[in-house]
Amino acid sequence: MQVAGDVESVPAEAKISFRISAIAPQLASGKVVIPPKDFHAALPEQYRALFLADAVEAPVQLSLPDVLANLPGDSLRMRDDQEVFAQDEIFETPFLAKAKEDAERFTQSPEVTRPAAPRPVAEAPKVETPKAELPTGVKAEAPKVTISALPKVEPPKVEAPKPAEEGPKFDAKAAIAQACALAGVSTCSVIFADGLIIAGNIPDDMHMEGLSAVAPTMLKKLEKHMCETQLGPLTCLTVHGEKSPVTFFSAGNLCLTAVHNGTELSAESRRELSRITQELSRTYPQLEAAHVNH
Amino acid sequence: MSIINYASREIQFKIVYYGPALCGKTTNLGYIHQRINPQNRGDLVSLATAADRTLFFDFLPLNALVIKGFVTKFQLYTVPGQVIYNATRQLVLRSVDGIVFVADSQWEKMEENVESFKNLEDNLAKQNMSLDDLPYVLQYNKRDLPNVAPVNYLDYVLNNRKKRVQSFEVVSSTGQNVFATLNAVSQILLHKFSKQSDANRAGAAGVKPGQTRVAPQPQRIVA
Repeated sequence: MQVAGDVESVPAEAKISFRISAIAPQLASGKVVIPPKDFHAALPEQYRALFLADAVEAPVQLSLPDVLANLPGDSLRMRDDQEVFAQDEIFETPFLAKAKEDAERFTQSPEVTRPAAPRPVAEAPKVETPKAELPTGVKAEAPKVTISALPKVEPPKVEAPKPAEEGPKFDAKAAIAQACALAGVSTCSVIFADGLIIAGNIPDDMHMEGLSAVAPTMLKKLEKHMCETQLGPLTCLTVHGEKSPVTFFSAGNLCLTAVHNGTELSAESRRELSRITQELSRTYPQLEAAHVNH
Repeated sequence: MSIINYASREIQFKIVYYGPALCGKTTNLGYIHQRINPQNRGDLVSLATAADRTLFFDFLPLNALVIKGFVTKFQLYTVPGQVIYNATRQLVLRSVDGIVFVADSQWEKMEENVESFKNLEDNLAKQNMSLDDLPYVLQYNKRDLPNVAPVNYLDYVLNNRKKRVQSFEVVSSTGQNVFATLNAVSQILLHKFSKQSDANRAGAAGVKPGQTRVAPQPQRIVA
C-alpha cells in the first residue's frame, strides 16, 4: 500500500477489523498479512483515500502485538493431545549446580536481570473505541480481530537492567570507590567479558551497558594489532563522546569502564586505574565469575 | 547418536544450539565457557566474521561427570544462523544427540524463529532424523528486552507439537537460565543413556573388557 495523504490526521484510536478466519491460520507463522484489497476494503471509509494499492500488490503486514492484543480468548489454544514432558530421575550434573547458583544469584538481585513476566494476551491493553465499519458481506462473521488502523506498537516499559553494586571479596565495590577518587574520573563500572556488570556507579540514564559490553572485545582486537606495532602493549582505550570521554581498561576477563568528568585522565590516573583492573582480575579470575554475589 | 566407548568407559554427547541469526547462540556458549571450571572444559573454538557473526560454528567441549561408571563428555556446538549457511548447519547437525533451539523473543523476530525451526526440521529430515525422537528444549532468549512477545505466543508458535518440551526464559547476555537450559537437555540425554545402559546390562552378557559396544540405537563407533 502507498500512503497518499497525511496519516497524522487519523486518530490513534481508529480501528480496523478483520475476520478471524483471515488471521487465525497465520498466527503460528509468526507473521500476519492481509491482501491489499482486503485491507483497503476494511479501512474506515473516511480514511480509504489515504492508502492506495501499489502495482506490486504486496500484502499488508499487521502488527503482531496489536493482533494478539485483540484476539478472541482461545485463539492461542495449544493442541489438546499434547504429551507433556516428565522425568523421574534427576542427575547431579555440574550444569545443575551452576543452574542452581544462577537461579539464586538472579533471585537475590532482580535488578541485574528482571525475570521476564509473560504478558498474558488477555491482559493486553485495549482501547475502547467504536469499531470501524466492515464491508456488508463481512458483518455476519464473528469473531473479529480489531487492530489500530495505523498500527503503532507501544511496547510495555521495562526498566533497563541496573548494574549490581555488591561484590564478594576485594570488592569490585571498593575498587569502584578507589577508581572514582582518582583525578579526572567521574563514575566507573566493572564488567566481565561476557557483558555481566558486577559493580558500578555509572548512572542508568547514561546507558553505558552496551558500550561497556563491547569494550572487552574491542580491547582484545586492538591488543592483537598492537603487537604488530612498535607502540608497546595496549594500556587502555579512550572513546571521546561530545559530552565526555570514557576510558576502558582490560585485564584477564575483566574490563573497567571509567567515565571522565569532562577532562582528560592524567598519566597517573591511567596507571592507577590499570593497576586496579589488574588487581580485580586476580580477585575475579574467570572461574570465580560463578561466585559473584549480586 | 552418542559415542559410547566401552573400552575407555566414555560417552560423548553432541548438543547443538540452533536458531535464527543473532538470537544469542554464541552468547550462550560464551557464558557456559566462562563459568565452567577450566579443568573441565576445552577452549571455546569460534570462527566469526569481523562483525562477530558466526561464520562456521562454535565448539565447546565439556567433561561433565561420571554416570553408570562412564565418564560423560559433552560437546556443544552452535550453527551459523544466517540463511545462506544452510550447508554448514546440515554439517553441524550430523550425529547430533540433543538440541537447544534458541528463539529470539522480540516481536519482529517471530517469523525468523518459525523459519529457523522449520529449517531445523528440514535439515534433520535430510538425515533421517526427527524432532519427535530427538531430545530438545526451547530457549526464549532476550527476555530482558522491552519488545518481547509473551511466552504463551512463543509456545503457540514453537511448542505446539505432539510432545510439549521444556522451555526456558533466558537472558543469555547475563547468563540467566543459560545453565538451566543446558542442564535440561543434558538431563534428557543422560536419562536416555541411563535407560539404555540398564537395558544393555540386563541383556548384554558376553561383552569382553576392552571391547567396543554400541548402544541399541544408531551410533558412531569408537574403536
